[in-house]
Amino acid sequence: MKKILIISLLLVATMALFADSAVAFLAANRGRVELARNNRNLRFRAGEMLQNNDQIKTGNESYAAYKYVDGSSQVRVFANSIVRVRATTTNGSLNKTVAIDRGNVYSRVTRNTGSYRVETSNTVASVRGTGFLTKVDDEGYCSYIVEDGEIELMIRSTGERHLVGRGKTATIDPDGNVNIADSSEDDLSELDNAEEQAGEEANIRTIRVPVQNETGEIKYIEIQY
Amino acid sequence: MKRTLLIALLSMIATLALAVSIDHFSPGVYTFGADTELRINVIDGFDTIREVKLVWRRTNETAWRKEKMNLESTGAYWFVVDLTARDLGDFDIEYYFEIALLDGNIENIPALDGLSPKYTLSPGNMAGELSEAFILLSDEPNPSQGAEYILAVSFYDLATTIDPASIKVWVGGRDVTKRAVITDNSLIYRDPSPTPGNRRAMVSAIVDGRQVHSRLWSTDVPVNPDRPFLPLNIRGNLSFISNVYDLNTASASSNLVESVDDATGKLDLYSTYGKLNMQANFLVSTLEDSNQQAVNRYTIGLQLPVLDVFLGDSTPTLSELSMANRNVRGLAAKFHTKFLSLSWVHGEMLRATTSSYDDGFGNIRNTGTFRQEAIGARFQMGNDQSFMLGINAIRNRDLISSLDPADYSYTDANNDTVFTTTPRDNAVVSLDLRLAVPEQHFVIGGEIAGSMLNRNTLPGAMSQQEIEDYLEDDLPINIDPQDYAELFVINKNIEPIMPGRENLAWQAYLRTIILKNMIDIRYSETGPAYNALSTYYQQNDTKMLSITDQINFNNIVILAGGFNMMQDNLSGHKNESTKSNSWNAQATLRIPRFPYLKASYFNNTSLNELNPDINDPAYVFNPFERKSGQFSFGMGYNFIQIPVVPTNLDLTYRFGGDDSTTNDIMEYQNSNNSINFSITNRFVPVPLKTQIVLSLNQSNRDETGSPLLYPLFENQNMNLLLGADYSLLKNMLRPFARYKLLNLGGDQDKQSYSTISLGLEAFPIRDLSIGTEIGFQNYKNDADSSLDYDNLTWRFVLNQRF
Repeated sequence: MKKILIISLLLVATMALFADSAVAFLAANRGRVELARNNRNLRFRAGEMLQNNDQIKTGNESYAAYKYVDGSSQVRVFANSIVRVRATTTNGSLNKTVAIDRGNVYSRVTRNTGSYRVETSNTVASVRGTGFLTKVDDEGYCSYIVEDGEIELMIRSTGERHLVGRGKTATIDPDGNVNIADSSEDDLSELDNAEEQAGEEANIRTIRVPVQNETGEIKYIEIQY
Repeated sequence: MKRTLLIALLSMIATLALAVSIDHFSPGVYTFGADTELRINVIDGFDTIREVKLVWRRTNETAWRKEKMNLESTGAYWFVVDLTARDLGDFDIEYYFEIALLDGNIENIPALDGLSPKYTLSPGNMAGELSEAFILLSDEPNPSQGAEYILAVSFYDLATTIDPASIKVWVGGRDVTKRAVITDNSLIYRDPSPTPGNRRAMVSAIVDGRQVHSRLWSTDVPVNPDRPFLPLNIRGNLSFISNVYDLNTASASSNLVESVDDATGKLDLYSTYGKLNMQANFLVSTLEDSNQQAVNRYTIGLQLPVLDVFLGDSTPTLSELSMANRNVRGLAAKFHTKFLSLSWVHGEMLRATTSSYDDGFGNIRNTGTFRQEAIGARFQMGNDQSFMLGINAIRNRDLISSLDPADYSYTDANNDTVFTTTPRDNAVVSLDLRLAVPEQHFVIGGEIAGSMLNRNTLPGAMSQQEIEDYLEDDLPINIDPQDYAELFVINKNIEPIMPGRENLAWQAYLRTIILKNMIDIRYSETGPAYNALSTYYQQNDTKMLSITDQINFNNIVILAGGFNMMQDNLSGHKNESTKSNSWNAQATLRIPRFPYLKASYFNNTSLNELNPDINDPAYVFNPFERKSGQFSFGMGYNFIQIPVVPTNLDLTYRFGGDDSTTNDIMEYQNSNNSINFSITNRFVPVPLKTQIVLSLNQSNRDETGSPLLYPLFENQNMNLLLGADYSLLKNMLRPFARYKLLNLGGDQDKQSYSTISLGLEAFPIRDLSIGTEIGFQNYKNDADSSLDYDNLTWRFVLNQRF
């Protein structure tokens, strides 16, 4: 019993330590961005350090970007996206995973320190030294538009593996059927549009709600969204 | 690269056109959080130096600051000053040295000629190795961070080997570790209200027992639009220094006079508000005496982009030959644009004082100094970065009303009035030209000035008729000097009575860089009757030529040489002329991580020549020739390889001689040699710094042509300095001790000067230093013990920067 208690305590301590370790840095956020940790929304500020399994959710016309602490990669999360930040340490290397529930996420990997993977409901992409956009819609269709480098794409349901190189777009349907073709003009403009959207200032709207106090004086409550 | 070479070139030696030759190697970089020591070695001309100051500023500022440099030790002429970590911050610094000479002139090194770049310091000399494992995560702007400054750094790759307790975070040159949140693989520092401007940041730590540091990251902090930034920056310095002396002489009839106890308070305030710079400088001393020239200083200054105004004490310089480096208490203003400027100076240059003396016949006579008013104006077209033309007009006037007639005159036995001093008028007009092509590193210029001096304005101005009667000729222009007496008093006492070449002075200079050679050529002539009371002493009736050349080979080999010629009797009115030629060659070899070597040779020859234009049979001409030559060799090394006690070593050997002949007969031949050894140790295990300086000198008269006039001698002297500094309580207390010993021996009276100094410096809070030092000097003369004396000096210093 004593041993179990000690081991449990050690595990908790280790987990606590690990839980405190930052795995990424929230480099930018604009508009409506939510950060959840342990399934609870977190009040955060600019430059927050992210931990393993943190979830980022962006709203309409919103944007977030984060960098992994090993300095190897940057992830840009565009509007209406849900992403989970994952990273584990093995033999001193940080193995990174971007789990995309939905939305558009751009990844740029500059250093090959530890593995880098992008996961969707039906795909897993392993990348090295590359930049690419991943799109996942609500119906489960996802696509990978590779701007630079190469990714190895694995279909979860079938185990198939495909290489998608620079200037190629891979489209996967919910059944796991893969189509790899040259990136079209529309595909490339998707990238540019996402970049532009990230760079634009948020369109902030304001509602003024009139309120009358006991003396009859009217004052206004201003709500910005 | 070019600029670096140019700066290194200038870091070697000042031009021989100057009276002083120095050696300064700029460190170029400084470490965050550490004071930076700047040192200059005076190679030649030490005896002419009154004071050396470091003049510096941050490159984003317009106002210069001055720090007095301290003479480090006897035997080796090193002037040293520390720039504190607070002053340095994380800014780029530029600086130069201002050397005030005993004759009142000031030399700037590098010269302020618009061609020679200043020395610079930048942050970068971080202890330990550069580690790329420190990764800046916050290198891109975050739209949501607003005006907050965020520094996020990852050291993931070092997470298992780094010593967390050793991590230091530097932002803006300050240690902000305590305000940073540090985890096991990263850190984040926030400043919610940063001052707009450029911020530099760095991280250092110990990894596997080795000191490492990150790159220097630079971020521009913008102005917060939600919180208007009041661009007001105030800094300054308040200090108090007191000295107490106690002299005890062995003999009551000793001629030694105890120094007067003194106390000085000084306040310097500098503030910047947008484009407006303001300064206030006050110095108040107990040595101030209303019957002596002013010691106190009061200055208030305002500087706008087009207008500078200084009220109180200032040292305006209009041009070298008309008004330069003299203190004026009044108003100095300058309106300046890129192509036009107007300067105006008006104030008191000398204070009225009275004194008395014994005329040798038992009579006490009064004398004094008249209050002297100076007015100066300069009109300038162009600027010193291209073509410039300047016209200057200066008038100095001794005010007769400032003294009572009894203070400057008396009636002698014959009922004649005798003046012990007389009031003067001095007027100078000058024209200066300058052409600079900075891209070609070329500057040429010159100035011509004419003066009139009236040595006695008491009789007042003469009328036109009186002058014409005196000269027995009509004046060339029809003016009555009495109408212009308010401007300048013309009477028989003016020099010269008729303007001519004698009251002119002119100079020309050329500075350029050709194939890495920095060439400086200067020529000047000063007439026998040229007088400019608003400048310091000028050698009248003299011409001078100076040529210097310096060349730098990749900062490793630096060579310099120069030739200087001076000759008097320019006007040819004297029976003989004196000529002096001197030349020098200097070399320095600095290979990184190897000892540095330096060598120099100075040679001087002075002689006189009979003036063939004056055939005076009664004049006895004794031709003489005096020659001197001095070699020096030196080496030094910074032994950083010694882990426990890095040591700085400097060794210099000098030898030379001088001889004199008159009428081709040798009068004497002297020789000298000396060796100077200096070692500074900075201990690592303990915060101790020690210094040993030893200098052994021998000077002999080897031969003599006249044993009675020039007896033979062999003299030796030994100079020893031992010093130790220790740091306590994390550098909050710094006790120090010094022992100096000078022994004179040989054929001269055996004498010794010994001084023991004990002191303590305390830094109780940031930017406040309190120091005290007690020095006990003992002098012994074995040949005449009645000359012995002891002198106790107690000094207290309080300094607060803000």
